[in-house]
Formats: sequence, C-alpha cells, structure tokens
Amino acid sequence: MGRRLFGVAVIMASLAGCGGGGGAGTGGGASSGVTTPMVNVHTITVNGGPAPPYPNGVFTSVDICEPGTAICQTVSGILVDTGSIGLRVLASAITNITLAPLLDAQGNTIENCAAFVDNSFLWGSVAKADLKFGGETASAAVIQVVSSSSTNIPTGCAGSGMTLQNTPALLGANGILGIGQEPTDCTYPGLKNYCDGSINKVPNASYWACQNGVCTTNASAAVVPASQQVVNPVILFPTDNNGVIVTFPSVVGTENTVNGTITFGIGTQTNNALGSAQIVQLDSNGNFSTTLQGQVLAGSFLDSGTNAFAFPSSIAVCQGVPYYCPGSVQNWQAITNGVTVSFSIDNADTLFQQNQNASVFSTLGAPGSAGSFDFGLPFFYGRSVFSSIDGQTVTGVATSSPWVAY
Amino acid sequence: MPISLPRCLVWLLLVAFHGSACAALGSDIDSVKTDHVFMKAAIPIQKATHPGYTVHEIQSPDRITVREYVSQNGKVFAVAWEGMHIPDLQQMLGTYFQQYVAAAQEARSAMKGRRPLDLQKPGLMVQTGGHSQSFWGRAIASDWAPLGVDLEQIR
Repeated sequence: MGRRLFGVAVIMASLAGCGGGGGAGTGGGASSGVTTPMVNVHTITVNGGPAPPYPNGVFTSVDICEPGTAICQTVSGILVDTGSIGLRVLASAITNITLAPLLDAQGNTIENCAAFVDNSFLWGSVAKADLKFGGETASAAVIQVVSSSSTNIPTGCAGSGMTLQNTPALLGANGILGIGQEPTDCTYPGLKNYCDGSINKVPNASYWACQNGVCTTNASAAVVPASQQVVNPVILFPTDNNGVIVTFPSVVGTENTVNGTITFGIGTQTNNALGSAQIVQLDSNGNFSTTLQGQVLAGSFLDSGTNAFAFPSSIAVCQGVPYYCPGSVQNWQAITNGVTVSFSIDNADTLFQQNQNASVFSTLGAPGSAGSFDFGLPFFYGRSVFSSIDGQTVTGVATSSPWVAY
Repeated sequence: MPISLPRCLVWLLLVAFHGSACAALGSDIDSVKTDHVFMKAAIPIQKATHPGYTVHEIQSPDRITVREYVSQNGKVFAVAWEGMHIPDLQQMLGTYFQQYVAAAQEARSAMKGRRPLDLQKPGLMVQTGGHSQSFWGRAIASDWAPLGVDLEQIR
C-alpha cells in the first residue's frame, strides 16, 4: 500500500529540505516563523500503519534504490524501531525494483533470521540497496528482504516456537527500520561481533548460507563477515552518523495521529546538539538500571518499537487485551541514573473503546518481564531521545560505548 | 504454520532410554542432560543448590544461557533463559510447548503492537523481555513448583 515508483527520488533527495513533511527541527535553530527543514531530519508518524489498528506504532517511508542507480521505490509503513538494527522490508512490498541477494564465496545466498521480543521472527535473504532518508543516503546498505515463503527455514531459526510475520497483516507494517545502537545486527556493546567467527566458533543463530534461498531444516548457522550483515544505515551516512534523536511533541491522553522526527547525528549540526540532556550509560547488554517503587529493574531500555510502557507491577491486566487495566489512572515515577521519569497508566480497555480512531495512546501500559522496564513509544512523546551508536564518537562525550540521553 | 521435524521423536531414538526425551519443563531431572546435549554445550552443567530446589545452568556455544530449576522431587518446574537469541522453546518447554504457542498466538491476535509476552495460563506462566541482541525469558510450570519458593528468584 502507498508504494509507488519513485523515479525522481534522487533529484528530490538532492534538493536540500526535501525531508518529506517539513517538520520543524529539534532543539534550537528554529526561530520564529519559517523553519528550514534540514537534510538530517526525517518525518515519522504514529498513524496506525498499513494494517490498522496498531496502537503506538511509529511509521516512516524509506526510499530504497538499486545500488548505484536512480532506480528507486518509496516504501511506506515501515515501523521505526530503536530496539533493533537494520532495515527489513517485506519482499511483497518491493514491487518496482530488483535487489540481488548477496552470495557467499560458494555462491550460496545468505539468509537472515531476526528474532523479536514477542517471539516473532522475520526470515529472508540479505541484499544491498541505497537507502535515502530525506537528504541522508546510506549507500550499499545490507538489508533483509523478508521472504513471502514460510518453507525451507532451518529449525535453528524457526524451531523455537516463534511466529513468522511475513505479511503486512501479521507484521502490522511493510518492514522494520532498526536504528538501534549497534553497527550491525550481530554486534554487542564494545563492537563484539557474534556472527563473524571472531568470538564464537559456533556463530549465533542469525545467518544461514543456502542454495538459492532453499535451506534444509537441519542446516547450521553460518559465519558471515560484518560486511554482509544487516547494517544500521545511520553509520553509512557520510556525516550525521554517530547516533539519532527521536522527537515527538507532548501528547495528553490520546490522539488520532501525531508526527515526530528522526534527527540524524548528535552534535554534528546546529539542530542536533546534546544540550542539557542527561546521559545514561548502557551496560554490556545494552541496558540500564531503573528503580520503580523500590524495585530495581536492572535490564531496562528505551525502545520505540515497543508500543507501551512495559514493566512488572501488580496493576490488573485487562481481560481481553494484553495491557494494563487499572480501576483508575495510576501515576508513577521511575528513576534512571538519578533522572525521574513520571508516567501514567490508564485503563486500556476503556482507552480503546472510547477512542476508536486513535493511534496515539500516551498512557498505555503492559505487563513486562521481571527485572526490566521496557520504555516503549509512549516514553518518547514530549521528549527528544538521543541514542549514540557503539564505536562512534560524539563531541564532548568521553566514551564511545553506547548511551542514551533525554 | 510450524514447520518442524518431529524432533522429539528423533530425540527419542537418539536418547532411547528415558521417556522424557522432549525435555525440560515438567519433566524429570534427567531431561536437563538431554537439553545439555541438544544445546551442544561444551561447558559442563553448572549446579547451584537453593533451599527447596537446585538450579542447573547450561551454556550453548552461541551464547544462550538456560537455567533449569529442579525441585527436590526431581521435577523441572521452571526454565529461564538469556542470550543474543531465543533458545528452542519446543525443546525447553516440552509438553507445555503447545499450550505456550496457543497462548502467544492469542496474545498477539488480541491487539497488534510489539511488546514483551506475559502469558498467564492455568499451570503455566511464560514471560519474555529484551530487545535485539539481548533477549531473556522464563517459563514456570506452577503445578510442579515447590511450596514456598519465591518465583521472583527465577530469572
């Protein structure tokens, strides 16, 4: 849906300020009256996506081009996910361009298995494409083309009781844009790569090498070099490549839709200064510690791809939907590194029933796993959330290991 | 739909002698060894004793850690995991696997949106958490959990 041949994409992208929506930049820079959208600002929107309803799903469009050419297609309805790495697009959404699968030295296609927290997964071969986000270009980025087929998947990927989400109806999106804090989908903080053979002799269950995309069910995971792993497109930008800022205006209660921005780079332009945002350093697993009502939740993180505040509590869970349904609005405070985060949880059943056209729910809560606060998209409303990329430097910040700030 | 080998059957042939070949949750303590073999773990099972239960930790070579909680009666009453990927839950959940699959499906179809799973079913609780590169989760078979054990300790 909403995809079209975008032959003039290159011309458009080369014009400053064609960011696709003219959203105001973040932070400073925007004086009164007319704002000039900068090339490092890309519009995102919470609107239910291509297969609504999808509460608190933030979507964007990406121009995908055959490498080194002006043969491009704009794919809309791509979920913006700070909790994963790399662009994954449903093959069924790539209709007007041809992307050749990457091959290993033996001529096998390289297949990727991407798991998500709800035990869903995406399967498909990797390919190179030029990706354009407004005025920023990631050239020859390795992406995953999610196969429409659900056969010939090794049990090492699919056997774990995970659910394949390879249609817009199942995924709720035409793809996922992972702009998390690592350069590839195989790296850990400290740039440790678990798929290239440098650390593990047995590679992680992420990549398989198969003849013409046909894997045997008992195939073993393959060692794949970093250059063939699904990549965070941000690190491929010539500049503005050390992190991102996700910004939304404040939301009170619910809204039908809300627009926000991704600003690329931190401290690289007039519109992406860190300013007074407080830095929270991540641990070796990409998490930080949060205290909530005396509970220490050591495995906490910010994730635009989670659609609620997800945390363990005794708040009643709804009967019909997997969210919290308190009898009255609960006002809570969580503390991360001395920074207090205030948030409210309202009754999800009531919210959904009374706001049937809404896609934006600022008080949506869901049960989370023990020891973890998953600060989902509602956390991003009313904030500029900075996240650095592992190994990249930010002027004025001593460490190159990943951090978040808000 | 699930495209899986009848792995329990294959395993049954390989590990012919005990009936709990399809491992772990709700099975006897011997199934921990089966999981150790299944996960191709090179490091021996690490055992820790707590009041009322023992924890058997298995580490796979691709860095998934599984902890199996065994009661004094020799039953695996809980399994917890963490790692860069999700372990094979068909293996880990054993006879509870189909119940888990149905509950996960129900939770997802109730309302779109990505978030951790929190499945509370009669006799079975499954929770997942994390993000790419850092997943964790736990499954508890409450019928087999020893009285007085603080289930919050199961991680």
